[in-house]
Amino acid sequence: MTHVLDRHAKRVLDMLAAGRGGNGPELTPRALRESMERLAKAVDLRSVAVASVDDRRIRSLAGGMTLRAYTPLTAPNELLPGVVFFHGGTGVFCSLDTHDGLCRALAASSGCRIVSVDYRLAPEHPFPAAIDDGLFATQWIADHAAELGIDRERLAVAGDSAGGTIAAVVCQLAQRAGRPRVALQVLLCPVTDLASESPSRAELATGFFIERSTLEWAKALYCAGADLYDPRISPLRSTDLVGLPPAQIHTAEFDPMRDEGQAYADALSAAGVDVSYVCHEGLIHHFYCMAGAIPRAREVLVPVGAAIGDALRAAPPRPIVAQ
Amino acid sequence: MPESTPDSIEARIIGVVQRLLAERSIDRPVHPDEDLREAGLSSLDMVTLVLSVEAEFDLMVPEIAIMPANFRSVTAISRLVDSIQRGG
Repeated sequence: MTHVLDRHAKRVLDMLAAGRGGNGPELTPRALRESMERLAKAVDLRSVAVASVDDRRIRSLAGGMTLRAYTPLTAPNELLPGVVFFHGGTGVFCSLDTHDGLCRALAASSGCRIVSVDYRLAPEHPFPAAIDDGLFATQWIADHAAELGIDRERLAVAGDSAGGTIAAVVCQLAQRAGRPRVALQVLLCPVTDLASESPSRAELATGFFIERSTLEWAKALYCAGADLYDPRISPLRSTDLVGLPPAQIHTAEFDPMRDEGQAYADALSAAGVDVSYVCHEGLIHHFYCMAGAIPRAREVLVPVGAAIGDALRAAPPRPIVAQ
Repeated sequence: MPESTPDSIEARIIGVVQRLLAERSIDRPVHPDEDLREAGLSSLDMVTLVLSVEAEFDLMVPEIAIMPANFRSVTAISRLVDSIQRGG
C-alpha cells in the first residue's frame, strides 16, 4: 500500500470538499440523480470506440426494462463472451448513462459484449426490486444469448458498488436455482455488507467521495426496513458460498467499501471459489466512472477488461448443479 | 484569439453555471454574487463545475486554489480564472 492518493483523485476530492458547507441543497433522490448524470458528462470517458451501442426494451417483471448492449470493435459479427453489467449508485441513483463510459471501456478492453441493465431504483422500488430485476435480466440474456451474439457458455455477471452487490447476489441465487449458468463474476468496489461497519467504512467515512451520511440515507431508502443480514442485501452474510463462479474482485485503497470487497474475496476463497483480488492503490470509490478526470482509471480498466476476456475465453463449461 | 476581458469571463462562467442548474431542473437567472450552494448546486455539482470551468477556459485550476472561497459565486470564479490566465 502506498497510502498516497492519486493526485487526480485528490483533485476530485478537493473539488467535492470545496462544494461542501454553507446552505447546500437538500439531499433528495432526484437531486442526486441529476447531479450524477451531469458529473458523468464531465468526468466520463468520451473517446472509447465500440462497434455499436443498442438499446433494447424487454418485457420484465415490472412491465418493461431497457438493456443496453455494447459490441466491441474486434469481431463484432462473431459469437462472443458476454457480460451482464449492473451499474452502481446505492440502489437509489445512477443509470445506464452514468456508466456508459465504463461499459464502453470494458467492451473495448475485454473484447466481450457488455449488456448493461436498467434495473429499478429505490425509493420508488425498494429492495428486492433491484435483485429481482438483476436475476430476471441475467436469465433473459442467457435465454436470448444467441440472438444477442453471446456465447451462452461464456456469460459473466459484473457490477460496481451496489451493482456489485446485485452481481454477487445473482450468482448466489443462480447457483441455488441451478440456472442461469454464470461463468464468472466481476465485482468492482462492491458493497457486500450493510449489516455492520467495516474498518475502512469508519476510517474513510468523510471526505472520500461518498460520505457515510449519504450511504446511510441511501441504505434506509433501498432497504426500507428489510433485514440487513439477508444475503440478498449483504451477500457477505451468506453461509453458502461453495460452488460459486470464479470471481475477479477489485477494490480501491481509499474507498470506504474496500474492506468488505476484500472480505468477500476472502470468504469466497475460503469456500474454495477461484478468486483473483486486486486493491488499486491510491484510487477512490467510483474511480472507474471518472476516467475523464482521473487518467489512471483509464489505465486500470485495460487490464481489468483484459482479465475478463481472458477468463471467459478460457472458461470450461460449468456443470449444471440442479434443474 | 483576443485575451478574455473580465466581463466576457463572467458571461462565460454564468453560461456554465446556468447549464449546470438547468440540468438540475433549476431554471432561473443567476446573479454574479449569489452563493452557488444556495442557488442549488450540491458538492457533486461543484466537481462538475470546476471541471467544466477548466474545459471552458482550457486551463487547470492549481490544487491550492481548489477551495470553497474561490467557487462560492460567479464573481469569485471569474476572479480566479482571470488570475490564472494572467499568471499562467
